[in-house]
Amino acid sequence: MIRIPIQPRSDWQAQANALGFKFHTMHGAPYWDESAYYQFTLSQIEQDIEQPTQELHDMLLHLINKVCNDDELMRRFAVPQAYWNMIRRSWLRRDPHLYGRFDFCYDGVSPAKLLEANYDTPTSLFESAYWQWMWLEQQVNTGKLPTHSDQFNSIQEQLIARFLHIHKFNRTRTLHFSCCKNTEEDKGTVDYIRSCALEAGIRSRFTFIEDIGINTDNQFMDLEDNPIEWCFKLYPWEFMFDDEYGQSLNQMSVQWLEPPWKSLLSNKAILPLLWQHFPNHPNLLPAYFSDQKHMLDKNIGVVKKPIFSREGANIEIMKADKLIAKSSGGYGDEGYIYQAFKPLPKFANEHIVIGSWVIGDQPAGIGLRADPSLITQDLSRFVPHIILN
Amino acid sequence: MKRSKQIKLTLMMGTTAGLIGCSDSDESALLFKDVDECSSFGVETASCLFHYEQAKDQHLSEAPRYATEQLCESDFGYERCENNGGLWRPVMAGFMVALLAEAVDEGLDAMKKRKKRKAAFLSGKYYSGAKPLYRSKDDFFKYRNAQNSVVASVNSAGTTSVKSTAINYKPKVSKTVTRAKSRGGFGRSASSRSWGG
Repeated sequence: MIRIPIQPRSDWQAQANALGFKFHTMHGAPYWDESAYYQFTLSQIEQDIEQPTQELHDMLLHLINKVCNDDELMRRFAVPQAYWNMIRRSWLRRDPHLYGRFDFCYDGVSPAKLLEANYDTPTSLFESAYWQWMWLEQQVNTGKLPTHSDQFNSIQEQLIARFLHIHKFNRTRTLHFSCCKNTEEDKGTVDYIRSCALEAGIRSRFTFIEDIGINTDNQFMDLEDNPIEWCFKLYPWEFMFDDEYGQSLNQMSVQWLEPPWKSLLSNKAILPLLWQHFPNHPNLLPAYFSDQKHMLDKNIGVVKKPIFSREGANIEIMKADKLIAKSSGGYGDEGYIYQAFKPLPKFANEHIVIGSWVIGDQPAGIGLRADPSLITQDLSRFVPHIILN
Repeated sequence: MKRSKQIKLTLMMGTTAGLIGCSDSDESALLFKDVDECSSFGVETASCLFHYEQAKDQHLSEAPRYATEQLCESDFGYERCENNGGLWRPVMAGFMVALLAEAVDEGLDAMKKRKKRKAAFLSGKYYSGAKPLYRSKDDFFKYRNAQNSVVASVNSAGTTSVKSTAINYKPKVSKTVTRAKSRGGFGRSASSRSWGG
């Protein structure tokens, strides 16, 4: 795993704008950064990332049973009791799911360590699946990269295949896509996923989360009054539980993507549970609930993460009782978990996190995020990668 | 190869919502072979007759027309055509009454409870125009409408769900069922915090 500077394509901004990839520059700072790429060997990808991704995914599915069958754990996961049955039913039915992303700390040498699982509302999908692929294709075509350069990225292929599969259970339904207003990045992600659904022959509509209504038949409906029967929502389950319509969720027969059981896996409480059930697993970092946080070595460092947190918000890193990094945000009401600190590898002044995608139940590819700070947040840059032996 | 072989896609990035797949929606309808089948489902005979006559009227104006019996029979089968005013048309194989979903549910409920009166009441109030149905020679077990598009299987007598375009009636009808009771119950949690992942 090495970082190699490369000449950016001269027209990439124009291409991005033409495609509707509007968030390539966010808040005045570059988000897509192709001034350098990361190069992996095939064995690094297959043995250090792909194989652990598969294994961790299987471990997570194994743990859902445990959580679902244990009221005490449901409480620890801070799931409101009103939704326990809904989550349990959705797991017993094995409601089909679409995708997820693991964040790994990996330096190319030691085993990749799981930082967290984004299994409900992962983003940066378009950049990983499509845009990064296009970058490689064009750099190879112009001779800047060797023709046998490869990339760990069959995300789009697998997404479409997954949609074809899920469509079988919902032949007659229209799939509604939904995200919040005023979020260009989310809208971009949803539009991209919708393109893949379209490719799989699924009828779809779009509606903003805020525009969803309830009709006189007690169904959710979109702004044009069409009932919502099958819905992809880029909106966290815990928010839905909290919202005014939360109480209606139990009475609706909507098929959700991601399904309710995914709310257990995007929850940070899964991290201590993983460590408890698979202690000393090479791809896990020690993690505990607050009652056992003394088990962590303060000299190695402790990371405090809210149970519900997105985009690296409200995280604190303590080392030998000194605060070395901290991020702000509005999370943490539901409690925290504690994870051993493992500094992100540093290449030319940037810290790298590897996002490893799971589509359906299979590893599908990676996307790299670079950030000058130790905590990767939503303004970190996305950088491309290749595989070359 | 660890990557997608080719990634062609009709990207919908930045397009306005609702471009695709908004024309076809499902609609409930009652499908009957004749007046007898209609009344056996608990609808008043007079009402069945009314719908039948209405469909028959539509039939005369909508049905495909053929210059000769032979041509007509090649599409609809032996002795499945009739002559009217010198032109040949397929015989009407059934008729369809489009209903509001609500009415169908209520009607079914009434039927289950053997409340014939209630079921009959619905037939008068909610229909949005009866339409003729046909059966072609090469696809004999399907009802088709006058535009030759498949509506449903002939075995789905009674309540069934059909494409609204197949009956071609005013989409307004379905709107009245699903009036908004409330809106905007989702999204508040997001406004205070940043999220994504």
